[in-house]
Amino acid sequence: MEQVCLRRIHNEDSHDIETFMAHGGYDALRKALTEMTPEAVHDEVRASEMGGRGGAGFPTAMKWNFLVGAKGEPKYVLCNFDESEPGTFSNRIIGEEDPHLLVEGCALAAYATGCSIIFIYIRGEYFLAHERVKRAIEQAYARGFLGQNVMGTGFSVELYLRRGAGAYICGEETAIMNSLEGKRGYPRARPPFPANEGLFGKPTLINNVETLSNLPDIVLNGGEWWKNLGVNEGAGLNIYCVSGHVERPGAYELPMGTTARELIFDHAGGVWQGRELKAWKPGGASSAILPADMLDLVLDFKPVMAAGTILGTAGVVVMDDRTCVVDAALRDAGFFEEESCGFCFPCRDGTRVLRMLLERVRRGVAAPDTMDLIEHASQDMMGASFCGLGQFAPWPVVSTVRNFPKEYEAHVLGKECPAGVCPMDGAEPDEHVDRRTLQEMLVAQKGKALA
Amino acid sequence: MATQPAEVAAAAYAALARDIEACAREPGTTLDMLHAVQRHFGYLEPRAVGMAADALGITKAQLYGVATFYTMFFFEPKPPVIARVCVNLSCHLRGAQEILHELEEAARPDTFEVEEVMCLGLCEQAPALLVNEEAVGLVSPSEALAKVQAQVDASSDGE
Ligand SMILES: Cc1cc2nc3c(=O)[nH]c(=O)nc-3n(C[C@H](O)[C@H](O)[C@H](O)COP(=O)(O)O)c2cc1C
Ligand code: SF4
Ligand code: FES
Repeated sequence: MEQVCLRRIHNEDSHDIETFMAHGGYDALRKALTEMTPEAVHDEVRASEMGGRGGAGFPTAMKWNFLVGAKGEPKYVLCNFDESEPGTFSNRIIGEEDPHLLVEGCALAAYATGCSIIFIYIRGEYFLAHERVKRAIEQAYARGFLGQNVMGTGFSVELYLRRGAGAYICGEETAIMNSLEGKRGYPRARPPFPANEGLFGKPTLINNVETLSNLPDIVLNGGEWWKNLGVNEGAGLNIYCVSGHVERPGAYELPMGTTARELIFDHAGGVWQGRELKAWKPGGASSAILPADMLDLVLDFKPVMAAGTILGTAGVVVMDDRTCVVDAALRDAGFFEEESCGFCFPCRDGTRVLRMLLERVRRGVAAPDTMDLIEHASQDMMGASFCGLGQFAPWPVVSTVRNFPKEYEAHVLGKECPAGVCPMDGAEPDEHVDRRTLQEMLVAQKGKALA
Repeated sequence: MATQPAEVAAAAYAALARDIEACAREPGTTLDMLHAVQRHFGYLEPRAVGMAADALGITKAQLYGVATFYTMFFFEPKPPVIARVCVNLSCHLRGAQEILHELEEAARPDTFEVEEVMCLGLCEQAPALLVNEEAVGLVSPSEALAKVQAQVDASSDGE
């Protein structure tokens, strides 16, 4: 099967420049700089119809258009290597096993969009990937693929590698810029958009590691070729990360548009230990928890959105029939509470409220109207949160209420966990649901006070 | 690490000064400077933070204000080994709680500390943890403890 980003990772010393170049590495950069104008590179990306792999699927070529018209120097490429969405690890594998592919992709993006400085911002916990990318950059400079007058073509570009220090929000496209500028990683209001006023106030192209790593093959083989690698109207290949209760967890680079059933059963070996599938998630913590009867969903941005959730980072998590969905939702709720940056109240308070409501469900002390409370709090957060974190944080929780209502009824009304996972010990959690906060949120949206 | 002999501390400050100087030549290196402080001192040692703040042309308070936003920085001395155990969904489904329990039982202030952390991007190796800078995954609780213990032993050999 055709592979693009993961084609070389099993080669011995795949991260070294010699291995990379023995397998066609930096050919695309040479081709672009010597045979193609920046516009021609841009045209191939347009033909590829690639959607960004950072989560939103925004058309890459269109994002590049914004840069071309933007005023201000220098212009920056910012490679988003913050990869912190639970269930997602594709960028890490590229960074560890094929860091030169990323370096080449960054250089191509800079050439095509007229940028002279590249930053790669990698999450602080990725020690090995940082080490490998750092070495790749040094090797690329030494061979003249970065720096002044690249390969004697007159094109010059600098590449800096920077580490984060533990904050999921710093993957958000404006928070990452504040972080790089040495500030706390709060998101910024948009507009101004990064393409006009981004890093250090200058025009900035921000793309994900996987988005950039596809560029060399698009340049070498053409955007049309890349696009045709997809199935079910999907464009190109996509790295699906599979984890949880499957036989073969891992990163699978497959045609965009592969169904969840094919991914989980044909590629990842199916549910582990011969168990049945109970629930699954298509795209990291920010996506919904879905029932088994939605397995034929086509895993591409549009079809997943049409089904009411997001493909996001395509971090697919599989849960077997012994899983309790309340317990699963609580893990995601705990993640968002921990990672909320605290800048705006719907998210800061809402993530806490959702987590505490679930804690009460799990203990068997939830109020009978808990499902309504979850629904209302979720809608408030989706509508009123300042950035994507708070807007998507309720999805794993509210989706379990909607998709698995019987489980909630059993917990809340029957005081019983059908899967036998939750403690259901009748103990009041140490902290109380902050009724006042919750009430304010509900009043704000529904004009409805809590009893 | 709190009670370093004077010459060890002096060497650490000198090494840090070189790292800070290198950082200061390039844009966007605030976090890298803080990482350098933590690398040399095991935590954000106040005098060292002051050196970084001076190089950045901001006050120490401002730099602490930045540092406290991020979870990887420590503000007090730590044991030589930190075990960061992921407790998010994919790891939870494959036994993160058992690992956490096993490690917490064995942790001691002079050997290692256990931290519950959010997804480490090692989900295909769940249950996963970081032992200092080493990624560890697909392990039973006792295997996880052995990995931690090995680093604790290595750190005391090095002293
Ligand atoms: C809370 C939050 C966290 C995000 N984290 C990441 C991340 O770690 N990596 C990433 O590439 N994009 C992340 N994104 C998406 C970025 O904002 C941005 O859309 C993306 O980097 C653009 O790259 P692309 O066009 O190549 O997809 C995050 C968004 C939000 C709202
Ligand atoms: S939605 Fe959450 S993460 Fe985003 S700005 Fe508000 S508090 Fe911060
Ligand atoms: S969920 Fe544990 S490493 Fe991702």
